[in-house]
Amino acid sequence: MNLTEIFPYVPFSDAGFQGLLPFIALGVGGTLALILAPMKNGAMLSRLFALITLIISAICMLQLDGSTEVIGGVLIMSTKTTALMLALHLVGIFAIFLLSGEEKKEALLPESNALIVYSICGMSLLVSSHHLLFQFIAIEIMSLAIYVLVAMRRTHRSSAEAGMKYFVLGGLASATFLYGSSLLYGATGFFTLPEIAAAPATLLKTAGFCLVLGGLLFKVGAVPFHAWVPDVYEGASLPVTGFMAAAVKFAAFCVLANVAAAGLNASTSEAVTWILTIAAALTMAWGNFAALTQRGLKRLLAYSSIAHTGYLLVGVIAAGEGALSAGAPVALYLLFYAFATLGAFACLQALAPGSEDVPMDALSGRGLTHPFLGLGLTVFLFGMAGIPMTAGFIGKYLVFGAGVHTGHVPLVILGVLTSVAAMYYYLRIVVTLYMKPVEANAPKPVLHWGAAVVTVLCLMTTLYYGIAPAQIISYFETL
Amino acid sequence: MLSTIVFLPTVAALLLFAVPTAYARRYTFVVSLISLLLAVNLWMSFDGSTAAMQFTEMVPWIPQLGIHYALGIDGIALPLVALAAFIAPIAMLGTWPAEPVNKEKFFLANAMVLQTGMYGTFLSTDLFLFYFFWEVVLIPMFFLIGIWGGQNRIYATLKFFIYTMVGSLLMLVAIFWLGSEAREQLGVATTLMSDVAKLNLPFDPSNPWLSPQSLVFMAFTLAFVIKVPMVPFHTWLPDAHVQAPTLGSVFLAAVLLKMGTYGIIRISLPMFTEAAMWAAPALQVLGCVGIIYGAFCAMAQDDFKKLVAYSSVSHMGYIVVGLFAFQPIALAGSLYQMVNHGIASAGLFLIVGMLYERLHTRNLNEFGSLAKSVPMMAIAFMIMTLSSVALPGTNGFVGEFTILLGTFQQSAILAGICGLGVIFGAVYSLKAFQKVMLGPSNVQGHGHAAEHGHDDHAGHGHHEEPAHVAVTHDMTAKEITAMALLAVFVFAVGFFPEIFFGPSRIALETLSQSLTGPVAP
Repeated sequence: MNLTEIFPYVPFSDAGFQGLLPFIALGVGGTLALILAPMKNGAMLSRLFALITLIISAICMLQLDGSTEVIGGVLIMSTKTTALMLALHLVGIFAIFLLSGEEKKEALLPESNALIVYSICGMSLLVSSHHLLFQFIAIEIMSLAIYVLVAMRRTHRSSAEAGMKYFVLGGLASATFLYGSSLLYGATGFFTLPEIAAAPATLLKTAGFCLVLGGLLFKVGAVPFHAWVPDVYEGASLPVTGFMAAAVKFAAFCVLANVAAAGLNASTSEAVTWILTIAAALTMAWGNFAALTQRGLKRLLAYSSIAHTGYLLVGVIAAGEGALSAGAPVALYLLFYAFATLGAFACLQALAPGSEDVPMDALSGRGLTHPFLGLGLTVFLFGMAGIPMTAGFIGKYLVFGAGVHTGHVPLVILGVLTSVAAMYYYLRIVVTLYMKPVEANAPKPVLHWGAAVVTVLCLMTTLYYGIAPAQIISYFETL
Repeated sequence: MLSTIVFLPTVAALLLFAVPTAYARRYTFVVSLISLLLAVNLWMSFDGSTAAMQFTEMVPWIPQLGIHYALGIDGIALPLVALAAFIAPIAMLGTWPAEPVNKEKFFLANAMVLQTGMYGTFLSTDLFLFYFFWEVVLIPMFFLIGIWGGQNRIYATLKFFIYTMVGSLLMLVAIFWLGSEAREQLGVATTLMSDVAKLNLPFDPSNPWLSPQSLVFMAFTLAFVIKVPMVPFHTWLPDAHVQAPTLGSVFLAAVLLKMGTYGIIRISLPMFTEAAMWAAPALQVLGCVGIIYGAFCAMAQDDFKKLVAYSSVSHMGYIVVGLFAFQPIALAGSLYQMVNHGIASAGLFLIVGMLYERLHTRNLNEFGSLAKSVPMMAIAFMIMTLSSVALPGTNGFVGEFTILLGTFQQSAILAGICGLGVIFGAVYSLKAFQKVMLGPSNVQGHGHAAEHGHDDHAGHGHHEEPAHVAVTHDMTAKEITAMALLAVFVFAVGFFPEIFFGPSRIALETLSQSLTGPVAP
């Protein structure tokens, strides 16, 4: 076997080059932002460059005709993957806005802006590829940037610990993924998912799927591979945590959905169904019940993010088993969750300035003294809890609806029952916001412009898509 | 027209933030009056000779899932919409505080959004939309109890929210399932109630627990009976009522509880009839237990508000018994009782609120002999008590008697046990009246007039003579207006029920024919 078998040579067309332009832009722009960072005014310059880079890359993507295949179909720039990548770019832009408010306080280096760009580059590659090796490389590009971002919060002693923990365990997960893909290649002779799915079933293929899924389940933070999530979320600075919850989960779920769909379509489906079903059930139950006991808001949101992974796995199973409009529920859920999460972190950043791990008490009574932030955080939490009028409810309705449609009623019932526990811990935050007296020596909320922009935009999206979701649903369904 | 009724309060709530705080309450009151006028207009133009939905509005909302923004009103929804519209201005008048409450505007905005949720629930003809409004109601109520409630408000509001949520989430799963069934059976996804009613949902009498129809029925009905609340799902109610501010209690008792029974009559009975018949005996027994248990609990209370709350448990039990009797008369009685209990409980909670505002206590042992100082309030209290104990000539009689009559045709024993509840009801209601208004004064000097004299009297056995005759001031003009309107309703419906329930007759007859049809040989 030589490399040309794995990557058969395909003449590089102009269209193909156009398809690569966004990634080139991201790479070059990210490097420029990195070079500018140590200069005088570096924070401002690198932030500006990072934003411009993301916008240029998004514009390059919009120029594509929606069916560009790059490097012989290893990267597929379809309308669907383009939409997902654009969503990731938007999340990246929001994250840079949020970072602008935290740089001083957390002594973050301006290089973090460049790291966001790099990780967006990795995520974009990840969602657009069907090739397992490419996916592995994309995961590494994304993760390496995130490891550094996590460890960069230099004022906080557990930050380096979190970074290290994430790095070691993430490396293990990547290795599992890689080993799984090598087994799949051994079993089928292919690295591309459609061909792997079509190949005849063997024990080796099943084992390969299990390992690949194991690696990905780690990345999305599913039980039993979830232990890193609370520590990493707690250790990282608020904007980075928000970015991870929104973007890393988004990208990892896109590839998980692809792999799971290949596994569920193939004759290995029984083992894959079982793995995913058990993971979904455990994740929903553990995430929600563990969140009940948390005192720090970051850990609470970490466990709640684990719980959301569980709901999403239900959607992934349904999509893989051919529920109507396949991946649309999962993609929409991820999008709505990303907005709610980023918004919530923006509000927390403003409401709890100067507190390291954002204790619940920092919010006491703030809903009444700061109505805008209170309203924002309440809407975002209601969105995560899936209460009507918010986009989160529509997402949950779509995902669970797809689950019921494919006959996973027990799983859905478990989902809604555990989300009652979720309701309780989200409401506890709202209760603290509105129904507790303000702490005597609590620091006054400081609303940075970046956080304000993110809050307003996320608030508008969350409410708008909660009330009028028809358009975006049909957009995602036709992709 | 219906959309205007539904969304007027919410739009007004948004505009409220431009209104100066000093005028906020007046503004809210005017808005509720406009809502009332709209409802009266609706009543006037309602055609009582048909059972079909009227003033229907239908716009595709999320077409991919077959979800419509669909509103409509028939003879069953009409009295409840009217009740909600009637109660809103009365609740505003009856709870008008001397000083603006803390965060007055937010308080009033919650009260207005609450109304949107109530109207929406009663007017939806799409299951998804129904669920949507059903949940919307929770949020303002959550804030009303949690921010402006009593000592233990956070516990109460969380309990209220979570309890109601458990039921409604299972309802949501049932709606998913029905939508998916509709796609298979009708070829198109839809959650319209009229379409869902057409679905063929298998019911297997030999395996009733696991038949699809029973599962869906149970999912919906659990949500409804928690809201009613039926024993044993009632424990959230006393907590929520006792902690809620008076305005919240009034809306909760008068309208929100009716959403549960409305759901049964609108969804559980007509759509899942066979399963409903199968489950009816159990539900009737639970309803009956609720009547007796609620009455006994009410008798044992020292807290006036808790007494009224438990009396709600008891009186709502009649509605459950009546609905599941599958008798035309009992069904009609249940609808009457929904409205009548709304009126009586609103009146009683207003009285509790007025007394609390004056004397800062709800302990029945700390009142007494108040009839001398607050005669008007005593009269209003008496009228509401009489309505609550179903004295002939009051509206309460119309509801409970009809239910008992209908139930008697089905089962004399059941009707007999329920009838005991009426007697117990008289016991605790009259006990409350006697302890508050009559007998020796036990007022502990919380009142304005008693504040100065309190120390002198302490230890001198002021229990013997009602020394605090001028203990507090009587009802204000606003409060008198509120109670007078309720009283007019009590007697008007008591003597001429046809005025109010006439337009509902055809709808009720059609419904009972469709329900009792399958059993007829």
